[in-house]
Amino acid sequence: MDSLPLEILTKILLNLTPNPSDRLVCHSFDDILTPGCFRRIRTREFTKDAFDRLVSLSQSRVSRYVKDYEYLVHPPVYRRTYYTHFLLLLGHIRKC
Amino acid sequence: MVGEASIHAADNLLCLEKPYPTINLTLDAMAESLVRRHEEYLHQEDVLGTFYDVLSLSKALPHFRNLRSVTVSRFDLVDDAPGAYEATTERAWWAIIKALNKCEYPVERLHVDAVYNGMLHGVSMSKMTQVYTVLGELKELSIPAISLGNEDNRPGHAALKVFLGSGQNLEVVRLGNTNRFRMDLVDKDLGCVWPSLRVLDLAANTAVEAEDLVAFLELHSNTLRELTLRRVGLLVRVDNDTHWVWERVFERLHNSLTLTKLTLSHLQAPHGLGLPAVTKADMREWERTVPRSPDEMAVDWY
Repeated sequence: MDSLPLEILTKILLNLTPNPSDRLVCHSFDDILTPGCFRRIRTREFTKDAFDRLVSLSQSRVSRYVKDYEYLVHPPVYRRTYYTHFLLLLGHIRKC
Repeated sequence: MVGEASIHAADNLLCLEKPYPTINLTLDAMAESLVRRHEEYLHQEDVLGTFYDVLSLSKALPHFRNLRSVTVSRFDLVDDAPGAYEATTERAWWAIIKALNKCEYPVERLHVDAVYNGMLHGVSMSKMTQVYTVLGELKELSIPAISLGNEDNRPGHAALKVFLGSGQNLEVVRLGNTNRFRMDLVDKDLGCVWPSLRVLDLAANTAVEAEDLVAFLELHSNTLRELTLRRVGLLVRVDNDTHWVWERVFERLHNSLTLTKLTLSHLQAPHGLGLPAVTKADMREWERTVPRSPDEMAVDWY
């Protein structure tokens, strides 16, 4: 693999079906594939973990490759009335 | 007499899908079970209550120094503004706007699946200033579903005008109107709002004043090259014993604009005049004849 010129290796890798884990094979793979892997990023879960991962990514070396960011929104998990009812019931149980 | 505190508010009980196993459980076990069943909701409330989303985006986006495009989207791809997404879209919108205001680099492209009243109207001036700052740097704006007010109540109209007018550097604008009673997106009163406008894509979903539409497009004739009109009808208004029909609109646009590409779909003929419906063949013909050919463009140039 090391004997292949970088240009040829780049052409080969960029013609394959994208697979982010391929960049973990070796440093050359990492150099070629990492920019494409992080060009577009997306937040799709409304959880602290998801936002923590975004912040962590922004502070890593790959943050410079990010060109597109997508924030995928969800409808609320429950209607507001159900939230209130749930909390009231939880409160009842705690008091008992 | 029964005191108010001892009245059991039966309608406050949570309706559970399955019979709840309370007999053999301790109270702590019941509480844990409830938490487990509603974990997703509790996570959501945790983020909402602590503004974790807003703070995280404000922390993260300024570090993406090559970021050029931001999208706020839903899981479904329908060009509509469903009420179920209103609160979460508004939340995401303000989080993104706040974060982009902290970025030292310009973002060129912003796509938001839907814009609701609370994103433009009834908002403090300081928040709207943040919106105008972001919009002023954009080159491309895409909002497939703008949902503001209704037929009688037009609170968002003025706000929308100011919002659109703040995008002074926009080159590509894609807008969709979901209010089926009226069309606020283009209006001759808006003037030449986008001096660099190159591509315009409008989905009206209603009938428009042809004169306003034509006047608005002609104000951008120096730069406008690609035009898309979808689901547009024409209001009937007879001027000097003539009325605007699509043939007249496109004849005028052929002469006044220098389009290189025209895309049409679902155009509707004016109602009440007994005119035949606009067919696909009509639209394909206008798409072919209204844009200038390369030869004509060359003649114009010299």
